[in-house]
This record gives sequence, C-alpha cells and structure tokens, in this order.
Amino acid sequence: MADDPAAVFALLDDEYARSLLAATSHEPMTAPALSDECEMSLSTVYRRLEALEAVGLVDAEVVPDPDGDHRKRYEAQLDELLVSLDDGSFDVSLRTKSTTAEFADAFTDLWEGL
Amino acid sequence: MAGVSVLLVAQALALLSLLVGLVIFSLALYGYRRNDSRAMLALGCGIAMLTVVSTIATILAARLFGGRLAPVGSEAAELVGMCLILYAIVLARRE
Repeated sequence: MADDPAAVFALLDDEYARSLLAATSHEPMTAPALSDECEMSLSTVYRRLEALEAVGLVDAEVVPDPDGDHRKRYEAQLDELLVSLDDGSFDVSLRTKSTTAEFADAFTDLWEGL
Repeated sequence: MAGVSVLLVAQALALLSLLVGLVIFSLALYGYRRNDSRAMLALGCGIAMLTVVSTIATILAARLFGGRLAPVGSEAAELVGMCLILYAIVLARRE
C-alpha cells in the first residue's frame, strides 16, 4: 500500500475509480453489477478494479456460484486515507473500518432506530 | 473491618461503572463524529453526566465536605444527564 503513493493519488484523481470505490463501499459487488451501476464498460471496470486492488484500496473475494461459475466480488477497503510528508517523502496509510467504528455505527443505528 | 471491605467493594464498583460509562461515552462520541448524528452527541453527554460527572461530584463532595453536605452536585449532574438523554430521544425521532 505505502509503496507507491503516486498510484494511490492517480486512482483517487480518476473519476471511474472513485465511483467504483463509492459503489463498493456499501456492499461487495461483482464486476458486471458495477458495470451496470456505474454505467461504464466492463473492460473499464476490470482495468480500474485491478489497479485499485493492486494498491489495496479494494479487496476481492471469490464467491461460489450455483452455476459453477466463480465470480469475484469486490469491496472497498477505504475508510480514511492519511497522507503524510516526512523528510522529503510522501507516505500514504490506509485506514479501514475498525471494530470500534463498527460498534459506534451500530450504537448510532440502534439509537436512531428508536 | 467488615465496614472497610464493603467500602472498598463499593469504591471498586464505582470505579468500574466510571470506566464502563467512559467506554459508552466515547462510543457515542465516535458515532456522533462518524455519522454526524447530534442525537448521539446528546446521548453521550447524558451518559457522561450520569456516570463520570456524577461520580466525580460525589468524590469531590466527600473530599471537600466529608459527607456533611447532601449530595447536591451528583444529584444535579444526574438530573442534567437524564434531561440530555430525553433530548437525545427527541432528536433521534426528528433526525
């Protein structure tokens, strides 16, 4: 992840990559579903997902399909991104949703669901 | 001797409820920051008044007045805390 800050910046600058991140932040989605939802071609989706996966912004899991066709489902791994400049070099660190954050969200949902 | 150990147990329990109160308070604050929910802010402050502030008021009163004074401070803190929780319920309904 922290190997190549420039790759992360480039992806976040990319409109397609950003919409893929946003779409997969709620629930894991397959590439064809993302292609439909984000209105972009399947090859664009695959290209961006590959780049996003390479820097760790997106994680893929293989879900067994009843048809025997194993599909990958992608999920955004980004909750907060910290960019630091120290001693002449940029560093990015990714913060994924923590257990504490999940508890806090559950507590909020519980209370607001009153 | 028995009086002392009962007092110790009471103090340990008070400390424990203070800690649990702090955990719930910080979870509520975190929920407020993450979800921008003002109801959670009110709820967190209410819980803090009921646990942390009330306990601190009790300790302070014991230190300063040695139990010669009625526990006005902690009672007031608890009243404010309950009002805040009531307000949090109203806010949660509205948001």
